[in-house]
Amino acid sequence: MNRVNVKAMSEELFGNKKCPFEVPENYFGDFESRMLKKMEAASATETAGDKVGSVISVVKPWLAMAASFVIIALMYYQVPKLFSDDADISQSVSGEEEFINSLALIVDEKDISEFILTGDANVVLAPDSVFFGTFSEEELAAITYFE
Amino acid sequence: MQPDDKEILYLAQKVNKKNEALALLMKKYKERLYWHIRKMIIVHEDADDLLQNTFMKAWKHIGNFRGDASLYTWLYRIATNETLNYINKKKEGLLHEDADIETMLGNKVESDPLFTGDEIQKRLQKCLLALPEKQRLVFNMKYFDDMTYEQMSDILGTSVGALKASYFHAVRKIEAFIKNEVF
Repeated sequence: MNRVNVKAMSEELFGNKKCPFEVPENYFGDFESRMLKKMEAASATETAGDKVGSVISVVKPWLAMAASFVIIALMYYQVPKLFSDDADISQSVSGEEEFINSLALIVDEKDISEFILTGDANVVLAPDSVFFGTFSEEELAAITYFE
Repeated sequence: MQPDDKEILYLAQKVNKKNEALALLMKKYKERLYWHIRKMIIVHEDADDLLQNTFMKAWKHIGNFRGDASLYTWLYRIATNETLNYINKKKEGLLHEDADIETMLGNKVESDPLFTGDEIQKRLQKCLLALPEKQRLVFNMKYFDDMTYEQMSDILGTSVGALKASYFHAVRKIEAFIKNEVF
């Protein structure tokens, strides 16, 4: 490899070795004061961040403990309800009972027991049954016709 | 008189003397680091930002400075990394546009009121912008800053042989650009 001799480089080709750039006036004179201000601002921000961080680090375990108590309480009260069918059953039973009780006021006991035993789909109602009291004449005629 | 590196490092360890140490560090190295960055970046505002970042990083990590290298080498290394990272980011950003950093910086050399060189120097700067970043870096450090290959090796973490080869190629490419009137 040829040795590159810097001195031999023609000034005509490379120009003089003086740096061809300048800086704005007083740039280097102001530099330290600008940097110190910037660093003080940065360290103040860091300190504030550290304070917030330290408060959070103190409160965090307490918050976690409170949250875990809330979760346990919710699980204790809500999970059995979510996974149990009791609620639906009790609701449907009470609805059925209410219906039967209301019927007991207007229908005799024999009709009710027959209704309970055979189910309403299989019950063949006589046209004079009190059950027909709730149907209009046209509906009654239709039922009678299909029967 | 320039402050001693040992004195700066000693003061940096003292909590109430940190600002004094920082002021001494900047006083001693700001100009050398600025020109090192500016020759690579061309634009004054960008060089100013990178110089500030260099001192911020140095200041943040000065407690970890083990003294394996001199303070001067360490600072140059930070400044060089900042500069090369900036150039790479700029290149990535320009990938989406129909432009390249060499042309962009070449135009800056043409229009920058803070460029005070003559036509030959302007041509040299344009030739340098056409080189790979590391060759440009080596050329600047050798040609303008008169650094030894050993000093450059400490800063760039590259062997002396590789640096000599880089410089040789850089010079030959620039000569070829000029002879072929590329710029």
